[in-house]
Amino acid sequence: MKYLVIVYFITIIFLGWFSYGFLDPNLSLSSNPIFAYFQSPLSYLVYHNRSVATAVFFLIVLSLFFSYACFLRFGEKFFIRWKRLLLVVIASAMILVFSYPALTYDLFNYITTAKVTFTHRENPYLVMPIEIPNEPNLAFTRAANKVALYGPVWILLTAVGHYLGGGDVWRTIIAFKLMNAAVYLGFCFMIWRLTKKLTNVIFFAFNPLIVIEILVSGHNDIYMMFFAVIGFICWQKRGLITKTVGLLSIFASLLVKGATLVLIPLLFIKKLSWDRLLLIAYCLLSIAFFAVAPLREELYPWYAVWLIVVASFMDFKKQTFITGFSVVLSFALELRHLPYLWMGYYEGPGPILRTLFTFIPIVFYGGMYIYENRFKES
Amino acid sequence: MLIAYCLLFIVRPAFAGYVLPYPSYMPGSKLYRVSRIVDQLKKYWYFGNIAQIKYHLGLADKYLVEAKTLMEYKQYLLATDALFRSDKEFLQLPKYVGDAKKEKKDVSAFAALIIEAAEIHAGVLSILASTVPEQFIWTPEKEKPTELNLSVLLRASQELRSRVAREILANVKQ
Repeated sequence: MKYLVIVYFITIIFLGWFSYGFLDPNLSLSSNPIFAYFQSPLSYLVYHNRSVATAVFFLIVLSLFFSYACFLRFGEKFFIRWKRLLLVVIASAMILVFSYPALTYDLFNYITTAKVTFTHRENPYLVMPIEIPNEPNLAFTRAANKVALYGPVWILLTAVGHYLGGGDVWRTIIAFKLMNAAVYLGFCFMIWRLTKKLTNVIFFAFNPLIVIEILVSGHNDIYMMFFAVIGFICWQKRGLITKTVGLLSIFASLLVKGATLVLIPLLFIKKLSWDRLLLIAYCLLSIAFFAVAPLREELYPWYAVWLIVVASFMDFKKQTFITGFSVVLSFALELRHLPYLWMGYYEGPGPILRTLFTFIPIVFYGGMYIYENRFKES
Repeated sequence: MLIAYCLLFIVRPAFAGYVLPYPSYMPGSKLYRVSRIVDQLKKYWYFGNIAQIKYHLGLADKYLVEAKTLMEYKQYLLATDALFRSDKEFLQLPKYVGDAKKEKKDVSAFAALIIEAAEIHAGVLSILASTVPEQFIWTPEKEKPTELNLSVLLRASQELRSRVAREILANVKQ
């Protein structure tokens, strides 16, 4: 098991290093020749040797899932104490804070929107980054022809990363990632406090989709879920003040990203146990994830953060299907990155490949689950 | 195939230039007062110099269309009020273009937009000048009549727009 932790850390460090291969050609993070010495071959690999880069990423994903499966199976016995687990989680988060947001441009969109708001002092819901043509960030920001896509609470949160970054792109990236890592660790703590089970913390903390989409790519879905979970925890408790805090937190979650709107009906169901609430929340978010999100854009891997977060608080002995499904879904969604990595564009066979990569593992898991249950029964 | 080639060279692509908005709520509508209050409140939502350019240009357009519609319905007193408001909004633009430039924002695209808007506005005003009477005495019931020098007002509005356009052009070229 000790060796497994070493393998995990080697994979994490390698992932952090490999991520710099995806550095946008229009973005210069450092003029240091040592940086260029390490980064240039990686960029060549990612942009000019796509098949090898895709294979490398696939191996990283496999290694992370292998470690994840082992941690889920034996982690409780190995880590024994919460503090020991926390140490590993903090160390891995701190390593990935320094990674490059390899698989998405969303982080740059957050950074540039924050710059429109706090440096240019323009309303980000009215002024698009592209309307300030001499803004240097435009060189490496995509979707600059859109006004702010997220709620005002998110815009306010980006002020922290923006000011910590002090105008330097690399520092700003790290500042945003530090914020993500802080919320990620906050979640680990919350899961531990509520469940008192190391397996639940492991389920969340080592999930490769969480690791890649939150700690590497720096997506903001975790903030929406953070406020929502705090909100429902408070809402479940007695006392007017606690309930008000809960409502405010749920409202803040909506004002980060609107997906938690589907959870609002839960506020009106009386005498709802925590376990039942989690189950219904999972179902509602699944509807938003599988039905609504693809209508708006497409099934983005980081949307599964919503489901994994909810599943992390569940009783794993009771909810074997949901926990297993969440793991398989995480794997299937990480495979969605492969067609783009290989081809360098989203169109062509990309959509059909992404659909196949997503649904084949899910259908396979569903079949296996039904078969096993029938087999057990007979 | 031949027809396709012919079409390619004969048919010119159409480009939508600067377009004025449709008329919004008009005086007499129950929502007119609300829309005016909303217009005032929007000022705070449109923070930032670029947003302010959008805000004032949008209102200048809106009130000009209001003035045009009212003149077409021979509601000259209300129309001149709308025209004054449009002028007032248009007059704000050089300040925000200048302020945005001081903040080192490239506002050349907005300057070009304002100059184009000024041309379109001037076109509308010149059509109006040719259709409305030069002078008009507005006589409401039980109130004093008001003498409206429509041609003078329209010419002044046209001049204001070309002055603003010149000012912005000079500012951007600096």
